Amino acid sequence: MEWFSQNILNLVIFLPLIGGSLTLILPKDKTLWIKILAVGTTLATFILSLHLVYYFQDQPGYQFVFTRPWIPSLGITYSLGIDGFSLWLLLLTTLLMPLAVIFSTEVISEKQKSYYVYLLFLETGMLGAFCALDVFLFYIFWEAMLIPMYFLIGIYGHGRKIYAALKFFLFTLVGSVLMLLGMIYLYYQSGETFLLGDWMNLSLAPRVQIILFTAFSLSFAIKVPIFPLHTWLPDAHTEAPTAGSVILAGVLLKMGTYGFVRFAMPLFPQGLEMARSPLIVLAIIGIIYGALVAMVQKDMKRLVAYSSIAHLGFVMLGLMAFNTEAITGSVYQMLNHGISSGGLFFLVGMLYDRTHTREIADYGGIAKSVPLFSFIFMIVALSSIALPGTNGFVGEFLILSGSFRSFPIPTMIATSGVILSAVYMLWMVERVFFGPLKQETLGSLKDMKWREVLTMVPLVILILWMGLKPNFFLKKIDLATNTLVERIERGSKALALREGHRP
Amino acid sequence: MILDWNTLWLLAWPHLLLVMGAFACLIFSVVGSRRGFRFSALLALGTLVAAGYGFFLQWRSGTTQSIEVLYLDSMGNFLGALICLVGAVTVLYSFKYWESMEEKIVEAIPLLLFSAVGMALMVATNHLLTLVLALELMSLCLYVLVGTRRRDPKSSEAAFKYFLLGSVAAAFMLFGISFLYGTTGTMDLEKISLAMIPADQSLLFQMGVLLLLLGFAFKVAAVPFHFWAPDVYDGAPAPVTGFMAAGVKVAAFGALLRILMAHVGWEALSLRPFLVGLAVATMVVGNLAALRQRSVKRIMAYSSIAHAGYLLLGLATLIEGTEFRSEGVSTILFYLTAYSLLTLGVFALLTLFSSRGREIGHLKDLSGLAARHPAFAAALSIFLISLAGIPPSVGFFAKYYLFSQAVEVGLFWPAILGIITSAISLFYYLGPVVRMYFMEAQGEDVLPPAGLGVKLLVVLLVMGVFYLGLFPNRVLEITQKTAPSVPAHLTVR
Repeated sequence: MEWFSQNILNLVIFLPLIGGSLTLILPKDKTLWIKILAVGTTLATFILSLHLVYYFQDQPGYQFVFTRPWIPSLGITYSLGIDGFSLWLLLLTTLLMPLAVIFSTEVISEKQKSYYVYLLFLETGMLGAFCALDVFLFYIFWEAMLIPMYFLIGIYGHGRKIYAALKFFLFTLVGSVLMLLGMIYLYYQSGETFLLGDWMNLSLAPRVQIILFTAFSLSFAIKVPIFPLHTWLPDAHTEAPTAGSVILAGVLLKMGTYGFVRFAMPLFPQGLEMARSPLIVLAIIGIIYGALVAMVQKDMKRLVAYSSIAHLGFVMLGLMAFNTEAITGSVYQMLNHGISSGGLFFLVGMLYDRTHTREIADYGGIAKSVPLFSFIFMIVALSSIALPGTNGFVGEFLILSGSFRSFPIPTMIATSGVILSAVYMLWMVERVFFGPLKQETLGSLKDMKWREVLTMVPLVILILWMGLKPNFFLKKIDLATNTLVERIERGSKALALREGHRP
Repeated sequence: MILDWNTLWLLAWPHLLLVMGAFACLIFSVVGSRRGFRFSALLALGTLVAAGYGFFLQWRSGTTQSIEVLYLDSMGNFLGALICLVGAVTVLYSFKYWESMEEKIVEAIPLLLFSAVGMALMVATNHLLTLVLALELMSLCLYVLVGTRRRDPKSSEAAFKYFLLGSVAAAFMLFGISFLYGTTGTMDLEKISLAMIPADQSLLFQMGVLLLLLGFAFKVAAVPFHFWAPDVYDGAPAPVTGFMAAGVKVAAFGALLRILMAHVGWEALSLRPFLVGLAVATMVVGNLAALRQRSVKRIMAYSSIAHAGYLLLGLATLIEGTEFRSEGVSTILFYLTAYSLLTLGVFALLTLFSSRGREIGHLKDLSGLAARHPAFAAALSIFLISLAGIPPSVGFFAKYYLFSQAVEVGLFWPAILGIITSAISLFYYLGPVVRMYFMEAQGEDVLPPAGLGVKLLVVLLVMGVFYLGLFPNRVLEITQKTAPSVPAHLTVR
């Protein structure tokens, strides 16, 4: 038991890798066994990660820490640990993975073996990135995620999949290159170590901080994506297979915002202070732009993809407010977005599997033929709009009320994004589900199968649970937020002091 | 020390073993029968493995011996072992290829061995005369090997081009050496260094050093001396290309390390700007030119140029001010190991794909390979993506180690450029991957069944890629231990 609780993070992270490797050994025509193995592995990982929630102590700092020397001669350590931020993102990942796998079991009919192998390897990469406390280790996981995702989009995607896959890979890689340089610089500054804890104790000059903040946040901003760096997202999300889109929107985008709260913001508080205004402006542009572009989309998947840009704009806005309320709201909104857009991508995928079209114009009035599907779609869409009672409301409310305290005018502009999101989402729902039946064939659409219901039920439960009883989740996030806010405040005080001395 | 056979055998027995093995192979090959060829290949493999083990034993004893024309230290032994490994791997994967060729090339394997002898001698000497002789031995064998596909005009053209340009480069080198000899009266690098440390260097001397370096710049295909590489790599038979890419690089950079180490203490002549300039040009041109290539072997040629650029940047970290940095040597040794591993992996597979009598050429020859040969396609993708420097593979770690050293000595901008170009490189390394995985096969394309040896080799190489990428500790310790802490001429005897 002692061993178990010490190695719990290792187990959670590497169980999918082991499952994936076992899948690799299986002969490729044993598809049933491959599916059982994939579902079993992801479910087991989820159950193991529940253990983390159960034993998570309500106290600040990292828990379940596991540290071993890795490449001692170069100061690289294998160090894992989680706090309130990573705990829930970890859970989100371990939850979405089995759903994605279960959903895929009947959708993917060709090259099944490698599909599950990529998914499982991808899970290890994501979980590792959320747990890493050594920046070098984080970087390895961060980059290792790219390869399985590249193949998932390139092999199993639709339309211009090769282009989309390459664009995704190159954008992310170019971003992380700058982070690598920043890492090497900090490595020498900190006396040859990559441990995050040691880096926190560095006192860097403001000029250096702004450069490093830019280097780190560029790579995260591409992943988020923040406004001018977002162009890879619509392509990747639209052309990816359904499970790929779910993972991309649900988890990979969170890597970017997670990078901000874990690395860029606490490490360079003074750099952050200086970059604050541009980031607020970009967040607002993202909110409005994402919503407006989503509104005119003809393709449902593209619509959901653009809505992600708007939602993550809210997350970035909240992070820049520098108070507990807004930052906690942002982290909460990361989870919400993972659940609601993950859910929407699943639902659009189900529709696509039936009709092989994603054009909104091809649908109309299908609520009559698929009532259950429409009902669930409605709930998820409302969560995305942030209707009170759903999880989205809690997140957006916290973000907006927190940001309002820090910067009222920009927040007011951003609030219009809430209305816009209702416009594009409800308009899409109206055109697809209500009105007269557009085509004869739509009348005979089959409603959800048990496999699809199974995929959606956990998400619907979470939407309502997180909307009605948010405290269970917020309590743990708050602990990590307080630490972050303290750091930021100390940084801005130091900066103010410094500028005050200047004639 | 007076050179006699006993001492020579005692000190340089792995080298002598290689020479004897090469002659024996030649005899068996000339017999001409199929069985003779097979036996000579087996013999070559055995010789290379034994010599490699010999180098390992020498390395483990950790001694440094100097006998006039030979300088046998840990670094030489390490690189010697690496060269033997490169040779052994090449023999293993090219065996079927030579057999399947229309022209029966019986000399290929002995030539490979002789070339390996030249390489091993190149990294085990501080004497310029030995250096040139070894280099010529290596090159002459390679010129012939490049032209072995006699019926293919591309192969002959490549051989001729390589021969002509290589001779010019050798002439430059000899010219430079004559300057060095003229100003110092010796060909021994140690003595040259000692002679030059207190004195001011004359222009003639500096010219000599530069010309010598230019010769090597040609051998490693550094920009602007790279024009031969794409044609030669493309025209040469696939296994020879692999052997050339890995082996020549190891040998040439080994020799360059010695020359630059001898340079420690020559205050008046700082080579760093020269090296950095060469490195930057090579990284940028190599990577950018590769983007437009459509032939797999040409892509690998430019990739090899690009990696030469990274290695040159590594060389620039050897000396900081007048201080010698042992860590810089370790970086190069690690990078050479990683690069050899990956390049051999790529060419093992390309050779396999070429073993149906038709040389692999355009990228589209690879289309749809993933569906037919999933394991081979996966392995080739792993090697290529690792060459681009994506973790968790050895390619990433080697690059990280090298660039972090560059940053440490203050070469910040070249390091940035290096990291950016290596991100760009992903674009062309993914070319073959895209063809193999995302596109359908064209026409019937059946590979001959791969031998157990090749399969095992590929598995081992893939494991090596991940093992060294995730747990580089062991090899890192070895390279750090191998790197001399002081240059030869400064050691107190």
